Amino acid sequence: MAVTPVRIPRLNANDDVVKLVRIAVAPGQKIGAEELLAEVETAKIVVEVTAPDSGYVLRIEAAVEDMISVGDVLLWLGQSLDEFVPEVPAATAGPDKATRVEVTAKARKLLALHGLEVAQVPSSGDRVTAEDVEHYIGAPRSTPAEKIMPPSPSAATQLALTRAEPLTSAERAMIRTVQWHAASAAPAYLEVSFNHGAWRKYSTEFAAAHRLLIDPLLGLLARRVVAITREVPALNSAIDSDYRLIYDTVNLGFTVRTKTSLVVVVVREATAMEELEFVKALSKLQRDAFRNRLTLERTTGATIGFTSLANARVVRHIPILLPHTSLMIAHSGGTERGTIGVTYDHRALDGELVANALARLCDP
Amino acid sequence: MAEDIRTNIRNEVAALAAQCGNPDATIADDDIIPESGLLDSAAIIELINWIEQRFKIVLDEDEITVDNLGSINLIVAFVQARNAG
Repeated sequence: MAVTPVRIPRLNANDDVVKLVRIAVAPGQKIGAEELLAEVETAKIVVEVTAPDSGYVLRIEAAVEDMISVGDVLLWLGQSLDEFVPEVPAATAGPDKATRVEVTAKARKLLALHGLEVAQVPSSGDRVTAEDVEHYIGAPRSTPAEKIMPPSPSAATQLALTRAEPLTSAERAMIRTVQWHAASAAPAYLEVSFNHGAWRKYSTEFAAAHRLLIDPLLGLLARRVVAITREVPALNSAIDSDYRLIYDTVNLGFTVRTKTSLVVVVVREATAMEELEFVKALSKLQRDAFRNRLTLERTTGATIGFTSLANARVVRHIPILLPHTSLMIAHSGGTERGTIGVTYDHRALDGELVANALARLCDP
Repeated sequence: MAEDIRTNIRNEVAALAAQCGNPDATIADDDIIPESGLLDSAAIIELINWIEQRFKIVLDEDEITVDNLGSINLIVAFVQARNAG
């Protein structure tokens, strides 16, 4: 066995950081496979971290009470006591223990939502809170001027530039989503056969049966994706460093284009919802998006995504993935029979699996 | 009073229809709005939100039906009933 890092596992979709509550071993100690190494705690549960193999504990990277990010190295195991232990790689290292900053769970969610690192956000006390993050992302970019300066224009744009406008929080969130897609995923795209006419007919009949005022077509399609995901759980997973995150429920992220912005609303716990319940839940979220009355919980935590540009008469589009998801359905306008697209993370899913699963979306 | 409400709603529906690329479209007071094809789903959502804001009522999802809000006349009747209740 080479020197092996034992990393903090992901315990659930919502907690990106855990608290180390107990270390059960000491450096130099010989341990057996599956032996208890430590206990970590989220807001809800305490979980044991056990040894993946037998060996010696070479170095422990954290102390009890430390808040540690999922994927960080907890300790190193080796075959013998004289094996070389590497320094923690920069990509996975947390802050130095002497300067480690505690971050509340809510703040972690906000940081993940906006693609921020802890170090970027000034804390108002001895830990970074949600209020600190909200203050950071919501603070007017023009004040104080000496702290946040607009970017220097390139020579080519200097003459044309008259002012630098700060981005809105929704625009910054969308940019960070795009950046996650570009930097962290291996996106691929394919199309599967799709029967627009049959779905339109099904939607019209469904609306008539339930006397719905708002066209339920997209809600019904998104609900079908949820149902397919129940049959093919791999679709509802994501890759995070050396881990596959398998979500235990579907939170369906749905893009809504309002007059002022593009936002993603999330139908949470969608797996157990019947069609009508899902359609109404999505309609409510869409209405609140148009009124700008969305809360954090209703815009974060998506495990798969759905977007449509049919209203814009687009016939094909290749969407980006939402952070920490592997699948984004792309509905477009079309003739009676056509296709529907999907962007997927090739690290988590292969094209044949995606195509076979989504073939079930073809007809209602 | 009812005529004022009706005129308000007509104007809003026409404005939303214009946003959807139907500036010269006309709709009768008893026409079913979703069936007219003048408003897309986003515009219908905007209409519902406008009704809530303009007439100071809160709509439950179960109330957003063709039977309650499907036409200009139905909206007038619904708003009057809610404000009277």
